[in-house]
Amino acid sequence: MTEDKNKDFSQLKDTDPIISYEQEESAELTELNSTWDNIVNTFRHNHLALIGVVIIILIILAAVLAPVISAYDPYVQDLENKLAKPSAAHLLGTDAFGRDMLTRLFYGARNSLVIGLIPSIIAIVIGTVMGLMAGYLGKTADFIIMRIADICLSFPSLLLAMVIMYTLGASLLNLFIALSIINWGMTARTVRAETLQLREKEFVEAARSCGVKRSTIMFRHILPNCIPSLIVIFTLDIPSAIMEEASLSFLGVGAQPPEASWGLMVSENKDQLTRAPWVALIPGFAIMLLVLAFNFVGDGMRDALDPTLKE
Amino acid sequence: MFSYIVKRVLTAIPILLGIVLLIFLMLQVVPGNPVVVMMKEKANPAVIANLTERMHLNDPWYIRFGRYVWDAMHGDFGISYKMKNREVSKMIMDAFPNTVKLTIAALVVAWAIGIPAGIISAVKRGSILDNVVMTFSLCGISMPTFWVAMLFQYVFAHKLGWLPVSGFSGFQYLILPAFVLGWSYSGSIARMTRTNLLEAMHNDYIRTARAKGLKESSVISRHALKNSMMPVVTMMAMQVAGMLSGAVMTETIFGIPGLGRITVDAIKNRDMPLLQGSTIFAAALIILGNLVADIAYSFLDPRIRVS
Amino acid sequence: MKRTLALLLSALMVLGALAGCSGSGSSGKDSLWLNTVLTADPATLDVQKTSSDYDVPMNIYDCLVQCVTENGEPVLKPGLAKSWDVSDDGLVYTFHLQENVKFHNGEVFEADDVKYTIERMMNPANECVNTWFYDMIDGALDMWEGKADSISGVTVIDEHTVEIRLSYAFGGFISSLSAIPCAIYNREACEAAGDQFGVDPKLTVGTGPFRVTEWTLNDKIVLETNKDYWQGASSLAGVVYKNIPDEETQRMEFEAGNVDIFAASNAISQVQYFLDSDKWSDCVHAVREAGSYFYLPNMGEAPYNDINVRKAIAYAIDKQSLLDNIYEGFGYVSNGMLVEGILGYNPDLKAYPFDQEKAKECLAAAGYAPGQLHITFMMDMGTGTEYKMNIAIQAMLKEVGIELEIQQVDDATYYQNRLDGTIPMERNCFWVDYNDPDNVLYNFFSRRAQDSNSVNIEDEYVFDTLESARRETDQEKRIAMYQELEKYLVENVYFIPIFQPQLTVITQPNIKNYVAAWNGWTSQCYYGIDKVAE
Repeated sequence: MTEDKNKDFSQLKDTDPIISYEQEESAELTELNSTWDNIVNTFRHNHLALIGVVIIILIILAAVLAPVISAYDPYVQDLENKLAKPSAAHLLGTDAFGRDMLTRLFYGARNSLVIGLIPSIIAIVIGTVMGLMAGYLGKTADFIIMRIADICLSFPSLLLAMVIMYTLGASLLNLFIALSIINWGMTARTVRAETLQLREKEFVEAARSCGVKRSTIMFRHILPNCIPSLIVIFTLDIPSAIMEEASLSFLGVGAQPPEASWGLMVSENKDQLTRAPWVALIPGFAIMLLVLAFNFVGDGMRDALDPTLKE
Repeated sequence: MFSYIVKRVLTAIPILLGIVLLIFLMLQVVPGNPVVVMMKEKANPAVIANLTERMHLNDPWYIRFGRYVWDAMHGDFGISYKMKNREVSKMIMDAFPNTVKLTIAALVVAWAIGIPAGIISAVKRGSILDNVVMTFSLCGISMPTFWVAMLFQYVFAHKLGWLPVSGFSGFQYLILPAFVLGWSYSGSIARMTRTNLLEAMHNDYIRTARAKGLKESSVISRHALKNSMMPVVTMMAMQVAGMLSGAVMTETIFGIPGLGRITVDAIKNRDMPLLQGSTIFAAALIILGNLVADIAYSFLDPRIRVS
Repeated sequence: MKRTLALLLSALMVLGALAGCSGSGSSGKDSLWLNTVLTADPATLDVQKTSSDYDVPMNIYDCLVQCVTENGEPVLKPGLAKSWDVSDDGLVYTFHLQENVKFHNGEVFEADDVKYTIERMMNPANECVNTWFYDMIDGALDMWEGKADSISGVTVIDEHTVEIRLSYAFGGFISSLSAIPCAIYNREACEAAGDQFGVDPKLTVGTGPFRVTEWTLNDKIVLETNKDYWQGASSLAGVVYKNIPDEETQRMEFEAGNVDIFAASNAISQVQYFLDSDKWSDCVHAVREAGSYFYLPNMGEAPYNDINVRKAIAYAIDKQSLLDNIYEGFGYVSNGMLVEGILGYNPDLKAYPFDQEKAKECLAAAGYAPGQLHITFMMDMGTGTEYKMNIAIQAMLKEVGIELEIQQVDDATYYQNRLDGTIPMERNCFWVDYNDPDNVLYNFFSRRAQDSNSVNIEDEYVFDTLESARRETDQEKRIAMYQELEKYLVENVYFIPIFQPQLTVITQPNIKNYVAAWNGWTSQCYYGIDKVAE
């Protein structure tokens, strides 16, 4: 039984030529609420997505409560005890400087989450604004914006990020900039496609004829309809950002020591691979867990919000 | 149709030029004379001044840019800064076939994992099998490539000794890297196959086929699958481009002398001509991939052609 | 479905054809090829144009003088020059050359090749970087500065005799000629090759025991044995340098038997494993490296120009702990730059020991309260031993009240800073090119050297001593001058010595006659090594 709200809605429109502005607004709010319902509903049945949510919450908790739950200081070195195997004292062993792995994992979670979230937020914001403008304003704006997006997308993303980091220097801020630059293009394209579709719809025409400003139309009418796609993109952007940061740190242009970033931990300890493999492999496993969780959730979101995927 | 292709190709040119300009500017803005890096410890101010002049590094950037584009159009991408007296174009052309081999092998793996995974997941939606299969291919996207490479190298090459550790002297050297790279791409293929198959299965003609009494497996393979594979095929064009230009981690860890290795070394050594050459080459591949994908899609979806 | 299967199968077949075995049959454990590793491709095989890529050149070229390792000690022996005479004033060297020596292209080696080699180095058009080996020859600097197009100090007497006149007596001259940048080239080959000499294997020619036949970037370099080598052909079929940037991978390849010689200098932690193993415990070769790690403060900048600050830093560092924890104890704490194994080593010289109390006193004497002094080390972007050392020292300095910031910059910034003389303080190291104290100290503390590093001293005593010691012909007097100078440098903390590492090389059991070089370099000549087929 299909619950395609969008379809029903447009049917209404076709029979009712003149829609009032206020009715529009309340209709949009209902739309948003039903989006949330969709999500909750789907997640109840999608086990993978549920697992994903649980994992993410656990990792966030670990990151936030890191100082509380860690038995050791992540920066203090204990060179006597370096590369210790997992034991009662050190649940996941110690690294090449004798620092407790579990503690560094918790603290690393902070960096990984922050690095996952912030560039994704920036990228989504930029991408959405650009996409809206390109789709709605058309002609020159469209051409210029899309060509810039194409340029950013035509680069092998890792290489572009590396070049940017070398250009700007390796710092956290520059890392955010680099990751945002490589990730905004996809969002812009998607939003632009949706905007192109939506701007022909009658509720937009109606708003136009009421004399509503262009920016208001873009942000208050078109944007909410893009939100389902945006949610999916956002949830799937975060793991990309985390992975890209891990790769950049691995190559030496991401997070800087002595910070505990998971990618950096793999890189710092890769020369112990044969002697103490767990030191290099465990942080990578953590990355995998977090990214996988986000991918599950993202797929779940897509299932929830894409009407054609309904059971 | 033809005009569509022409239009798309023409749009690609400013993008390529834009990329060349972008790299050029980024590397100009950075403080640091590449000659100094080349000379390292034995830096001698007189030699540095000499070399800088001879390499025209003191000319204003727009002149250097113009000169670069002009030479590039004649196939001359300059001489590497680090590898003395080697032409960049030759270095790229020598490395490229190796990346091609890796890419083809990885594609085979990616498809062999991704397509069946997507089909099973769509057909048996919601079952344990669905979850397991999707998890497996999603793991591919979720594990950082360098980490998977290290893990596989450690387990299969070092501990078990089944496969070579690194190098590029025969078929067996490709197996591990192909699997690492291919697995990481299989996730997107699985996803897309699953999504498209699900969409296709909702369509009316499927309902008709079922109503006609056709077996479910026939329904899926002869009707739904055919129509849902097209977007996946076009995705392949972009994946090929991505692999060709970006298999950096895999090549580095497994010692494959391909394009990714060259580019990373170029960045580390501030080897500008090589970096520019290989990045432009990589970007051109991606643009080509997009182009092919767009054109193929337009062939298959008449609605786009007409618009 | 059937179609997909067919597609898959054909793809696999295509793959098989594509990835076909790459030619030469030059690797594998079943042949007499010696397999060794390089972490990166050399910039060029032309040793006049590189100051660090010595691995392959040491196997394909010869010098006038050889420095061989006997019982771990360096011994100068005749090379392409079978004997030489030195005038009493130490200015004129006459070399009598070996006869019947052929280059890899069949050309006969003669005196003209020596003149050509030296002039090629000093020719500004060639942009060579190792000119300092020859710049004491009469007329060499004139050629380098473009005032002449040949060197008046090098005279060809006859086909097998060449005379070299120096513009000042340099006690280390013969020793310096044994360094690989002084490799002798063939005039015909170099002129024919132009700028592809050292790039194209077919055009790169020397007199050495091996000849380069193949070079695939990022993959390998293949050398074949020179059957007509003037000292007798090697028993090996050749040498293969595999390009493996990662140390862990190198080690894995070694354990799998694909690499015959594994230098554990980058992977010190591996050594114990091999010492404990049954297979390789007898194959571990250890040698003192003729070089050391030390820290160089920028004496032209505050706060490093204050001797109390420098002393405080020197007292605060626990060198033994650094050696044990970062280098697994494989080395020796050093007290100077002329470490044991280098001519001029002074066993009685003592640097400032690890003493936290004294460190705090010096800090106070400099006028800083604990925690007030902030210093910076600059380094590149790696996470290797330099990084680990800096991190450990950061903790040590904190204990005496000095805050250290470790600034990691990319290569371009780093070398630019070095050129400009603005590196605040950094770990540095030096391994001798040839066995002479001048090689070490001149490089850092001479007046000329101030242009290209960040030591920034303005000490006439140091400058003058270095110049006079160069010119001193009485070897004993020379050594005494250098030792006096070194004591002065250590006492005034012009540098902080840390330790002299030990090189550990592990070979496969079937490699015979392997001798670790006296200078502890990983680059060495493999002539004389035998490989027993398994």
